[in-house]
Amino acid sequence: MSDGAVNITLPGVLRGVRGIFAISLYGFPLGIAFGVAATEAGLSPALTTTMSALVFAGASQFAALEFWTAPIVWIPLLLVVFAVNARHILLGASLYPWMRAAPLWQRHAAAAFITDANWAYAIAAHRNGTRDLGILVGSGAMMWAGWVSGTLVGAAFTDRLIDPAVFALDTLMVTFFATVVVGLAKDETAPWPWLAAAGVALAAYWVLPPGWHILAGGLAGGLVGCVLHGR
Amino acid sequence: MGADTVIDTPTALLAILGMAGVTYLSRIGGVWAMSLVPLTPRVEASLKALSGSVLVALVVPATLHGGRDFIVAVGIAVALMALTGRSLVAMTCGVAAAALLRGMV
Repeated sequence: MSDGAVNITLPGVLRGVRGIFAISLYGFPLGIAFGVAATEAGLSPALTTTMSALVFAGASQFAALEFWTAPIVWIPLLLVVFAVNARHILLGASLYPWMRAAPLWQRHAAAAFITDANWAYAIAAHRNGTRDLGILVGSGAMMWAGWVSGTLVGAAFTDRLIDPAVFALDTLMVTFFATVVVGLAKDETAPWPWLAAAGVALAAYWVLPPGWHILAGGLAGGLVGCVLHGR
Repeated sequence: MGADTVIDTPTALLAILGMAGVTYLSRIGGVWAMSLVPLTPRVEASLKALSGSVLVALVVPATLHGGRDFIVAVGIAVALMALTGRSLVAMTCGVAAAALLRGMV
């Protein structure tokens, strides 16, 4: 999986932008929803947009609003952000066999663009033979553009709210992830890691705080894959 | 979350920077961690199982707890993806079906 050098190239970035375009559109209404919620929590439009631009992790930003009180409660605020984003650790780990052939600075730059959606897109492209890390960067930049512009609109024009539930857009993201799963299924040798992931994630959904079931299920599947290797 | 809880701008900026730092750590953390471990075939197989498993862990609870519309959207998309291999078509049909269902009932 790691033959030859890996780089971020402009054609790769543009391919990523085009490939994720339809999905990144969903980031826009979601960003609007965040912009509205953040304004209601007392953030100015400028600060709200800054937060989306720098943090670029929707679920954790929504969670952070629950802790946005004066004076700031630093530890709970940063802990909840880390907890909701902890699944990124698994996404980054799964990208390592691809990223390791890239220069160190490109690894660090590309990692800043990891989100669920473009990670799924890039992993699928990598399985199909892509080596250009630009795919991850371009698709991430596109997700960023949708998220940040949506936030700006939502924060600046609070009263013109677009509800993601219209046109069932709220089902788009999970539907996209499901099609990636089907695409990956063709080169899976055994169903056991995925069955473990589904079972543990469903169980953890009930008992763990929001977001942790993804971490638990992913780890369970990875462990089963580790144990089954070579058998 | 009342509008009366105003945080002064420098503190708010510091909090946002802290959030951004923590989030970046989560993004680079897995890459760092794996660079410390020898990439044996077993580790590589585990990471491959991991990527599919994270997706499964995302999709299955979100679909089942999302209710009827999510089950219909995902079910149709999975079936069409398996049959045609075209993800954009599969996604569009799944989401459109959920939208129709929502409009009718």
